[in-house]
Amino acid sequence: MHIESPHFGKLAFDPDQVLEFPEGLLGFPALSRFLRVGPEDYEPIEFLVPVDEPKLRFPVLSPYLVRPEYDLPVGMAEREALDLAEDGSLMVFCVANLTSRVEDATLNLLAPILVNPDNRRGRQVVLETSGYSVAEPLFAGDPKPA
Amino acid sequence: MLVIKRKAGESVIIGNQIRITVLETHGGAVRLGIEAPPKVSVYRAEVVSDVEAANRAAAEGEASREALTRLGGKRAAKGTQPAPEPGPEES
Repeated sequence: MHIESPHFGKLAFDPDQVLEFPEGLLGFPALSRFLRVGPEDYEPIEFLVPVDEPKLRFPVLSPYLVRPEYDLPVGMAEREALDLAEDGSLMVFCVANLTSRVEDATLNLLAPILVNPDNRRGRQVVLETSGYSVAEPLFAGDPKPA
Repeated sequence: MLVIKRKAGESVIIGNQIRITVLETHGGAVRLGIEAPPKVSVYRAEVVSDVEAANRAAAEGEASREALTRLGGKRAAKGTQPAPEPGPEES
C-alpha cells in the first residue's frame, strides 16, 4: 500500500505500520489512521501523516528532547483507552509548530500524543491541570546562538 | 440543541453511561459533577479549542530549516548522535 504526500513523495507502508487513533486528533476527529514518517534530513522531528488525508502532516517531537523534566501523568483513562499493560511502554510525542521565525517555534506540551507501541493505538490527551500550554517556546532557556 | 432545565442535585444521563449532575449554582457559575467511563475524555471546551487551533497551525506550519538545525544541534550536544569524525591530523 502507499499514499502520495506532497511533502514527502510516495510513502509505501504495510497495514501493520499504521497508527490507529480511534478518536482522531483534536480538531481532526475524522483522521484515525496515521503513518509515522521520519525523513533523515528532518531529524529529530518526525511527522504524523494521515493516511486518509496525506496532504496534511503534523510535525512531532519527543518532549523529553527539549524538556527532560517533562511531567506526564498517565491515568487510568489513558491506560484503558490505549489498552496499555501495567508495565507496557508508551511512546510520547508533542506537536511542534515550526514557524518561519525560529524564535517563535513552539511545542504543545499541554496535549501530548500517546501511542501504545504494542497495538499501535494512539490518543491525544489534554493535561488540563498541568500548567503547560499549547505553545511552549521550543527554544526557551537556550543560550543565544553565537 | 436539546435544552433541559435542572436544579442543584438533579442529573441528566447521556447514552446510558454518562451522568452529569448539577452540584451547585452560585453567582452565575454552575458546578457540574460528571461520571463517565474512563475511555471518555472530559475536558473544558475552551481548552480543547486551543488544542484544536494549535494542531491546525502545526499542520500548516512550514517546518523551518533553521528550527530543525537548532534541534539537531541540541541533539548532538546531548550525545545521542555519533561524534564527528576527527579531521586529518596536522603535522
